[in-house]
Amino acid sequence: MKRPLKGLSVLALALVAAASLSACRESELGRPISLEKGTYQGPRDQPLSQATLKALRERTAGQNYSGN
Amino acid sequence: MARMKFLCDADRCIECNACVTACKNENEVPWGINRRRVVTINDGHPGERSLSVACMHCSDAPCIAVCPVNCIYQTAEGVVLHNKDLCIGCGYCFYACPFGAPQYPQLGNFGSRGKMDKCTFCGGGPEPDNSEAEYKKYGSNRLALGKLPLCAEMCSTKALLAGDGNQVSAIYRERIVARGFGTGAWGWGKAYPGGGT
Repeated sequence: MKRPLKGLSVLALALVAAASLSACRESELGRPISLEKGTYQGPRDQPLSQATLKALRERTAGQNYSGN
Repeated sequence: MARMKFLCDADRCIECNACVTACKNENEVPWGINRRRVVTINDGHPGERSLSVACMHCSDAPCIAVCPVNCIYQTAEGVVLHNKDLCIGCGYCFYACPFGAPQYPQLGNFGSRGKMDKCTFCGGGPEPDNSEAEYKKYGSNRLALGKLPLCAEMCSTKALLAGDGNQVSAIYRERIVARGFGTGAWGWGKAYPGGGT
């Protein structure tokens, strides 16, 4: 009677260990897990296109109007 | 392109708070958070001045230096953005920021707070441009549409300027020359030491 209980507890321990170790990789967590001080390692913005930058420059220039 | 910068012309600001309202509306900023606010000094006395204050997107941003999870970064245009998926709401950036820009939503009783929120220069966050996820977390991404932050675009007196730092400083310089006086652009010495281009 004791043997099956022992076997079950070993099995349960093994399952708990496997569950606690799963999904620990960076890709599974979906976030960086190694930290380098002052360095952002997450996803970044898409860079703005030249056309967008041109439009932004035009808008910035448009903020100037006469008068002090 | 030089880095993106804000400039508030204290001689033009009339404390109308339209920039605050525009920001809250455009980005659907939650209750209790003001990404931008108008500060008045010498209120009601001679020499009264008002300034519109938000994240200045510093060239050497102290918030980036102190963040323990490295969730704050700069884009190629010099806009300081953060990743809310990584932020732990510790508050270090708030203590480091000379402008008091980082804000935290209250989550519940006993001072529990959520992830940091701040001005994004209407540049969204790391999610795909103008996606629903980006809007929900960070608000509008006007930069990707070729538009400047709404607070500056709708400023009626053009006290609040935003955009390419070289162009913004040229506009301000022109004003100072026309006025014949000027005390310098508020906050620029702190946010962009040495020019910060």
